[in-house]
Amino acid sequence: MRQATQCFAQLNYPFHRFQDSCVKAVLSLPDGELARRHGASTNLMKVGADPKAGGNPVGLLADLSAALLELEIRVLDPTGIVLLTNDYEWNLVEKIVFCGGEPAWDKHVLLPNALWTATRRRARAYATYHPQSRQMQRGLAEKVIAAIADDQRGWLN
Amino acid sequence: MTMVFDHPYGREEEEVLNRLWREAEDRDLGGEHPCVPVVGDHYGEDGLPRLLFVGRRPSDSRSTAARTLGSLSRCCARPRSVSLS
Repeated sequence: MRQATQCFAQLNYPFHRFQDSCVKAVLSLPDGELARRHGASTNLMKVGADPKAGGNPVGLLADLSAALLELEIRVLDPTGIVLLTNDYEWNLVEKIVFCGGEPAWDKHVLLPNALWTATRRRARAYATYHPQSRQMQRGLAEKVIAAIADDQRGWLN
Repeated sequence: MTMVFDHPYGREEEEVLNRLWREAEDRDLGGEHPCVPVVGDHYGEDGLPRLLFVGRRPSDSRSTAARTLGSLSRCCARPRSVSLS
């Protein structure tokens, strides 16, 4: 348990800071409430890139990863799926978001080249850049978070 | 203060996870543990919106804690939560 405690204490990378800021914005949490307790996080690929092949998992590994994320979404039943994956495994992202149907993304009106939205059953899906990417610098992350919070409020009301 | 981070895996998810792990081992892709979702203990409380954040792969998000949970889930019998003090 000590090791897990230490590991969680270190979760302060851009991904996790983005997650916390977004949860705070959507849930309007009071000061002092820890956003990390209200969110959930996972990865599109559960196995990293093949160092020998120099690329992402393909074939069965990719299919299994997608199947696992499908199960996670079913169990966690989110109202918002925030894909911080940029164009990484875009085809798989579309397969998961659109459940095999016709891909139909909406470019966000205010952020046409930074945020794509879609409806996946009872959830809204948001695809954007990874928080560590250069595109997310200079205030874009804050705009994306504000847009997601606004969309969630409209979606749930 | 104690924080509890639950993970939602049931039998079906664990079967896919284990199959994924075996396939990775067969391809000599060891070294990266498949991670499990990290779910806050207040997730979905009181009908509030539930947000799931999806990164690319463990090495990108450097989710060492998630990988630790993955290791725990492989070593222990169905841990449903990890308490953090």
